[in-house]
Amino acid sequence: MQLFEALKIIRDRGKADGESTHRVDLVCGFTPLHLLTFLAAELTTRYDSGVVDVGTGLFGDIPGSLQQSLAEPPESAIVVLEWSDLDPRLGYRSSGGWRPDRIADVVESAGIRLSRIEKALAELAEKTTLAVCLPTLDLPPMFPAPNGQGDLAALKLRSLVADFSVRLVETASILILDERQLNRVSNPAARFDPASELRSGFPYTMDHASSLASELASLLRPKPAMKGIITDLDNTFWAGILGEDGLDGISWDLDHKTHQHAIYQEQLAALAELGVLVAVASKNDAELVDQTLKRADLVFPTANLFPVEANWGPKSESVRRILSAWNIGADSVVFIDDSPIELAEVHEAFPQIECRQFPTGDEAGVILLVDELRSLFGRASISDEDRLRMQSLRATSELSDVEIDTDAFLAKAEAEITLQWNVFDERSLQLLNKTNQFNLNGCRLDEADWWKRENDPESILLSVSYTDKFSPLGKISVMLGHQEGDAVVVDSWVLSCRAFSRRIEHAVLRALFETTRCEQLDFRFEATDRNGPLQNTLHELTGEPPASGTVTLRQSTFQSNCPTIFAKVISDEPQRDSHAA
Amino acid sequence: MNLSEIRTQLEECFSVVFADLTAEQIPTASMETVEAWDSLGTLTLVGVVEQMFGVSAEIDDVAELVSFEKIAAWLETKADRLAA
Repeated sequence: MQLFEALKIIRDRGKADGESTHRVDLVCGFTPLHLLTFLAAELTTRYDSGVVDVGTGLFGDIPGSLQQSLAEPPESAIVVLEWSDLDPRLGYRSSGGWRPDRIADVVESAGIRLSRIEKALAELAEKTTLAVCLPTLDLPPMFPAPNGQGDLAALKLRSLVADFSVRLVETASILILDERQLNRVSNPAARFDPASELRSGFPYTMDHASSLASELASLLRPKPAMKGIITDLDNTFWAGILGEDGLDGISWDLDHKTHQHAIYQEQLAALAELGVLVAVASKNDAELVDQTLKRADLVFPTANLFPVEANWGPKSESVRRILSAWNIGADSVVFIDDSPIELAEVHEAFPQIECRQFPTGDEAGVILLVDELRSLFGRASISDEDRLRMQSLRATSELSDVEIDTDAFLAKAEAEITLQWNVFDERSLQLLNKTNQFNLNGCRLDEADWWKRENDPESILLSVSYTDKFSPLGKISVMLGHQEGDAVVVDSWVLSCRAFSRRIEHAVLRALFETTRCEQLDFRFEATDRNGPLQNTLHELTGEPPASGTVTLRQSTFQSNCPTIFAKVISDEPQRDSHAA
Repeated sequence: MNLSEIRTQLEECFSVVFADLTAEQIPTASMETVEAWDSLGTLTLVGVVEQMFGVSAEIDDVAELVSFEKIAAWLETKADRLAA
């Protein structure tokens, strides 16, 4: 935050809502200057109404300032300590303390001063909410050990402060600003402003003051912890696509260089033990998922996964059912998926949900994600309410009323489907042979079959690529058939599970009808254990459940049952005249 | 950044630092006429101006920045270095 912005926030709130006041004391030994301004602004944004009045204490006298606050306790207080508050000789504005024979005395006096501060803090903590920031600046260059070597006196000082902070948390429930969090937002090497310290007694750079104020305000007025995580499975909970790679083809271990997924599982497991709800929303074969979740080597104890939504429908539908089962509001839930389009679809239906992309293949990104999850779901203690079976935050009926507008989402997806005719390449053959869920009959082709079909003038091969504003999916569908009179016989047809629920299959069939001008399509269908999604599509289009054998779809029936296709379809011309009647 | 833009932005700086000043009072504001403009007010104002214009005031400069006109004149000497 810039100083101008901070002052504007304070000024605008003062004009809009000058009646009620939140009194917060800022206790520090230096001139509070810009820290006070930033703190007032940051706190203002964290209160819905009222003016924040930040009071300050005495220069260079933390115990005295604490006594002042104790005499008239504020709504809350923030104490910012720097080394010079433990002994002025640990600062730059006091001369005469850096000589070696005085260092032992500095350490001793720092211990005594800390005890006084601790006593005053404990008293004040009984009257008000109290947040403490331990020294954020480096010790001055006064210790005799050479650079790079830990100096005994400096180590003792740090130890004194560490012990002091432990006691504050243990005995007085005082909030301590996390050094790690501060290091994330404020570079330790860019915090000290010597000119400002010596000229005005304000030791911080503007950036550090702004970051510190933001963190202190968050410590005092934290956002409510999130309550639930909905996670995808493929390339998120584990590496690989279960439907394509199989039960043994997925991994989350060092040997496969996929251990980042184990780290993700470990974080989910730890959060679940803190009372965070964890559910699955995956476009997947339910039975396969069920088998996989029984694997003993999963890091996450799957008994803690509830509910598991593994199906081929839109993710937003799965999310809606999960929210209903949990009976909590969407605004306390994080949805994690590796696919940008799935994230966008869920965000469209539930804008309140925090959506995060799982950075598949990016170890550093996964570490950042699990770090953020800890921050979003962190809680100092576990209440009964936090545990499983939390009481409702919203009525279930309210959630059931949420309308999932698939049409509206697809209309805005800027999807583009590219159809390529009669290009017999290896990728198309691979796709035909590895796709299970949306597979017409499960038949596999070897290379000899493939090249034979290429040389057959009656063969029709349609390969399909897809992209939208979220991400390109590449080649995702292949259909192989041949013309017989007024009909096109579809011998093989696959669609990658990554591309479900985008109406790509409908666009493919429409193109087939239009380009070949056939009256009907005859599908050589065989039910398999895993091609449920394909069966659903045939059922939807023909109006009846498909039976193994030839399933016929007439053009008029297709036109009646085909939903609106929003994608732009680009089609090259069939390369052999015989293929277009 | 031209001189008119400098003065407009400087007026915005004054309006947030000295929230009680009216728009008419700002161009004639000085340490002598504005009660809230003390040494801390100067440091706040200079901090806002530095961030707003991307400039840095030396200690000798700060001592001279005691009125709207003087700050505007100081900024005008740096006009060629100010971002558009």
